Amino acid sequence: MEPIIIVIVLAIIIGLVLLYYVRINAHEVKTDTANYQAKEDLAMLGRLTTLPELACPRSETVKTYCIDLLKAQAFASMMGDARSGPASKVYYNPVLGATNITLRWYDLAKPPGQMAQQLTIYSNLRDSTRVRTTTTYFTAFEPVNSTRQFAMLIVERQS
Amino acid sequence: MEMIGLVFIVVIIIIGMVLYLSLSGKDDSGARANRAANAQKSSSFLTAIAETDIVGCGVPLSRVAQACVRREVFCDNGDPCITLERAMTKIANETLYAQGMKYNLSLEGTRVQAESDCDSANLSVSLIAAPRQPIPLGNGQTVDLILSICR
Repeated sequence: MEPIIIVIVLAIIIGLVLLYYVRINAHEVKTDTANYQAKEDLAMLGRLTTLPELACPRSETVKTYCIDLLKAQAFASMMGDARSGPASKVYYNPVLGATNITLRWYDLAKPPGQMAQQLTIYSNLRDSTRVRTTTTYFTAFEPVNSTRQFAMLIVERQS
Repeated sequence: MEMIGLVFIVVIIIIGMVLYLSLSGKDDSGARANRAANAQKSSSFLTAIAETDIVGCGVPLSRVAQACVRREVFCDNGDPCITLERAMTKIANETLYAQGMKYNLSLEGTRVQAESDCDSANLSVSLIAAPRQPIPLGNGQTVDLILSICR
């Protein structure tokens, strides 16, 4: 009888230790995942704003993240074109991945509630049900008038 | 033999208590990543707003802030501090407030402030201090634009 009880007790102790170990590992995995996602978001922002197809003139990039509005409109037009769009998505997939990228800029001359204008630059999400959204603020440069507008970049990534 | 059994029972009880105490703590891995992401967002907000051109003046907000601190007559001959506060409020309301964030945006050392129902007692506590954007005034001096997000 006693050996059986000892075995049972040992099994309970080992079970509790294993449970503890699994929980600790799960917590570390969650933390690592959250950190990795945060780094990926920053890396994506860096890639976007240094793409020559979107980047501002060098003089405008010294102080802040910056995207050229005219280039962004041309880029979005190319992505949406029936002939060039699919091939362009294949070309940019290694850089931009499975994401939707939306540019929203604000014209201070317009009244509140009507300031925002929006443009989807890139749309390559495969599954719209599991999406993680990141927003970052930066400068939208309008090259014709050389004006800088407050803007927001909304990146939806597959999670 | 009975003593060994008692010892085992005590060991089990102690391990159980340790597990309960360690596993019942809040899982804050996501919260920490969120705080870092919010701090990065706040920093990018300040950098972007400082470089935004003010309508009618054609210069960035940072230049208007300089004029406000130096008490210069500027742009439309109006008070640059009022121009600055209006621009800050307009941008912050359209962006931060529209996204459900309450905020307090101010220029250090001045009365210039844009906020939205932000009680100082509710300012979020984070591992990183409220982001500041330094604006040069010349002679090596700077003035900070400060953004705090409320809970």
